[in-house]
Amino acid sequence: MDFTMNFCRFEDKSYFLRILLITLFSFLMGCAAGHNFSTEEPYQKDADHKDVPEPRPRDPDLAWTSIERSVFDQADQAVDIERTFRKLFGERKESHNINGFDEVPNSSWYTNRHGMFPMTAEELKRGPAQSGPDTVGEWEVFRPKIGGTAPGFWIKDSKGNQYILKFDPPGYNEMATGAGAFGSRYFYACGYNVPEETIVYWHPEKLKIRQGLMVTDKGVKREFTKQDLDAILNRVNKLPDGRIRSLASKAIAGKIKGPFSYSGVRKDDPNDWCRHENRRELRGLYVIASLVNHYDTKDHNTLDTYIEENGRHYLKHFLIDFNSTLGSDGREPKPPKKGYANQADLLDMFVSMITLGLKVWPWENAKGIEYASVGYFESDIFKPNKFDPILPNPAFDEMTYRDAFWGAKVVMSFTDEDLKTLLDAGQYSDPDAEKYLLKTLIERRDKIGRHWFGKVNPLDKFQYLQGGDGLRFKFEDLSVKYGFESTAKTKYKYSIRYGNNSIVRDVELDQPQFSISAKTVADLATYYNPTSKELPKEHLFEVQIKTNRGDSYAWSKPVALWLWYDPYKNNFQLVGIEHRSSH
Amino acid sequence: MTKFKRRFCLNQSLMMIFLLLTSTNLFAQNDPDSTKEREPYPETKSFGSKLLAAPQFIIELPFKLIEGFGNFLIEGLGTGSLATQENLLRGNFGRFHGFYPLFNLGGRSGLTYGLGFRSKGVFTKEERFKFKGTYSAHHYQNFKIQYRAPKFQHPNLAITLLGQYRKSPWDGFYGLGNDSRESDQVSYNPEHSHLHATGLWTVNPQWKMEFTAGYDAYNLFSGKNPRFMNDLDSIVSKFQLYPTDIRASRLWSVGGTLDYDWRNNAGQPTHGGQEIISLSYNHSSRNSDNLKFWHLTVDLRQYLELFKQRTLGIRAMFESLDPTGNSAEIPIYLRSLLGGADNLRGYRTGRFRDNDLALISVEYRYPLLELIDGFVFLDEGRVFSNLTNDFRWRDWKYSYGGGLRVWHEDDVIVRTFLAKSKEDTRFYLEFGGSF
Repeated sequence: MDFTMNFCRFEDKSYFLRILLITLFSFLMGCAAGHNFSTEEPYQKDADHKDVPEPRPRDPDLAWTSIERSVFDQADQAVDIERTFRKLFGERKESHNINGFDEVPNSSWYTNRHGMFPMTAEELKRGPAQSGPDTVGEWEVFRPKIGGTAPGFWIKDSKGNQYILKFDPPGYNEMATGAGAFGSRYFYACGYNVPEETIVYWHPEKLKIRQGLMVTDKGVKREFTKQDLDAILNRVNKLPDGRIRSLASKAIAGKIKGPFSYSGVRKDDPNDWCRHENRRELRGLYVIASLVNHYDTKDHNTLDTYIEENGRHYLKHFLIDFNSTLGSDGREPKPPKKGYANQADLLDMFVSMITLGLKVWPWENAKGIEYASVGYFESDIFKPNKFDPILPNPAFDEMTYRDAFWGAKVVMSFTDEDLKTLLDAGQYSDPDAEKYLLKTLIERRDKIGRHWFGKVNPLDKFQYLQGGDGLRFKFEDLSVKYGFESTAKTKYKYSIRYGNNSIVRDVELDQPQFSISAKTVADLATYYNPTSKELPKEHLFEVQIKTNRGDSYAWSKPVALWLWYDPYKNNFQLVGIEHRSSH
Repeated sequence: MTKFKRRFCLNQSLMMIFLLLTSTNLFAQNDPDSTKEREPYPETKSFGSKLLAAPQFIIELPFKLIEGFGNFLIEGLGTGSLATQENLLRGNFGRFHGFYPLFNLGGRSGLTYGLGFRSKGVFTKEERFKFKGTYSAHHYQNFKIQYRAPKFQHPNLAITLLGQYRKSPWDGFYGLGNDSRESDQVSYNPEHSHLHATGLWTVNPQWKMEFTAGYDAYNLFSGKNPRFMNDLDSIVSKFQLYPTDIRASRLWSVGGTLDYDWRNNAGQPTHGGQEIISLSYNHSSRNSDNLKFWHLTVDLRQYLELFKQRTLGIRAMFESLDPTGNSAEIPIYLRSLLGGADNLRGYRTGRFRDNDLALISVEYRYPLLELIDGFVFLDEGRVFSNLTNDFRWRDWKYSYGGGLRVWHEDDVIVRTFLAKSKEDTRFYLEFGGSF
């Protein structure tokens, strides 16, 4: 009878379709590689500093890259069957370069800084910069920029260091230079490689043109003259005393090899083992950049440089050009749309088209500019998940909630005082403008934390102690720590599993800590049967912790802690942390 | 405190002390001093992914081919020598010079191909020299040579010299007047050569004055479109035309245009307007032609921002040909034309033809992307044998439609739109703007 019923149900097409989809999905995803936790300490560094032959320079065309990102990449994604399935079933591919603790190891791309080990106020203010150009001697102009939208030129100071000077547009004193100085320090503190950028004040008499300096003007090569230099300086903002404030960006050391791409790998770099769209630091950059509205995160605002370090030659990867952070767009205040829609957002375009423009986008109701030295920077209509860079970014497109959680942790690591310290580097002369920036940054930061911490179980900073009396676990609930959720309403529960065996089940807690008795620990040890050093999940003990914010039925997805039992030392070791989420 | 709680606290304290003294493993989540390195390893693909690779490849192939071809053109061939791609995409051809190929696909002309040449600095740095020659599958010919000095003797004076030859063997003629029928279409072949000299005086950013003098030569031949009647004698008989309507003519012309442009932005005007009044006097150079007429065009455009760059554009246009003295009738190829991409858009180019015309267009524009607007429109217009004597509100032809326009701050680069009328549904891809 049962058999008949089941057989009949199978005749139902929708039921059959569902079975087929689940089978297909399991088939597709089942063989995907899982985490391989190391039984030793987690990886803190990627070995991508190995000596490699010099790669060829890359010089991708900006316009064509824009078309690729806006049209072809989007079309590719639309027809990517596996990606579509994963998206439908909330099983998107996680980042590939994370360690067992769900963190990003140091590499030629990224160094854990403020997000992991809080920097001092002095370190934050200094950022990557040493001292800036020497302001005592003359500056030799050796590479001018003729034409183009933003004025600028390269100088060599009396110490022989090379800098590109960037300026504020007329009428917007401190806007672009302040944003640049702030931005470079912020992204440096977040962990990225950035150029040294310093604000300098100088008199035009300081400049000297290199003898015989040639320039190509509208296709014609000719000598660069004093009149050309004056023409550039006429386009920049000057202080009443005749001095010029500019941002001196130091030339990055090594041989410049052009921008990196946010997708794929650089084929002529053997160290480049992880596809860039699968790098967490690039995926999580979406969240980190959203705080400061760094919408200009295109390939061309990155740079690879071939450097020598301890006798080894390898590529180091930089983010560059932060003049378009905060309210600045470099040569003008940021238009309200920037950061809220791609330059060619096909979906928005489609919506506008079918509604005949009657749909008014939030950024269209933007308030005016309050401070000329700030430009357009706001927190009212900002939504952390609606931040849109200038071009679709393949790494951002692949971002999962876990990546966003990582990015949000970095953003939330900046206290109000830290942000104030970073803004001080912008040397804003109007205290009200700086206060406005700080207030806006704080509001945006809290929106980011509240949003992305709500998408995963935001437990972090796990510690455990093992002694003769058992195991004691302690962790931080980031939503509670930052005041997004109340301690009184929050409850936790944990379970312990080994393979299919449920050893401890759903023990509720009021505090973010719990203990496992020595007897239970002894019982756990009996389950263990070690086979190899690189263990698949089923040979590890899994401690699952779930969180409830006041609704007894709404338990979060778990954070899984993976424990490995070392029979020789008779202790447990935390070898993996996994924030589970559906995305 | 209950007995249980006291005992629990005691246990906890003892345990903590014990742990601090004896713990073998105090493990923070991340160890700042650790330098353990991970060896680079290649990313692995699941079996399912590998299995999907074949169908995935087939689906992606068209995109990859287009992308690859684009990459080949841009990265491989196109770098720098003729034009930067950015400038091309931005519609900024200022730095563009040299030869370039021309291709076009027109409804009547068929596939058109040819060669263009642009150069700068013939005598001075600002001058432009342009040549264009095209030939089409349907034997359309177009040769154009132009010299332009944007600052001739004075920064506000621009001089243009233009010579052009055109022949259009598949052009359509539907008869004269507003009541002409589409089913009456015939094919004829006008040939037009002209030499024009133009001086443009920019009084200020709003006011411009243009003076033109030129010589035009017209001939009319039998058409070549085999689908329609194309013999010139038969056409004369079918439409009961006079021989003077189709005769060849040679004309001298002088004229002027007054352009008052107070739009806030030429590419995407949201307020302001533009008024263009053009008047020319045309006189036959051969006594046998006996042709003398005034040609007046009034084109009034007004823009009104409804909200947030959603703009209503209104256009009223009148055109009048007025023979003077004892002039003969104006030949059919010189009459005012209604229909096509620039006026009554739901009808074929030159669908209605007579001495005078009137047109009213209303266009609603709304932003889609930074330099792309959407628009919907309604056009109404008609031709008259004499606008002042025969004007009537009856029998106006209308068309409607919508599309996209790509613009930059100086002009419209491309318009693509669909237009519908009672007779036809037409799709256009046009470079440059109408209003």
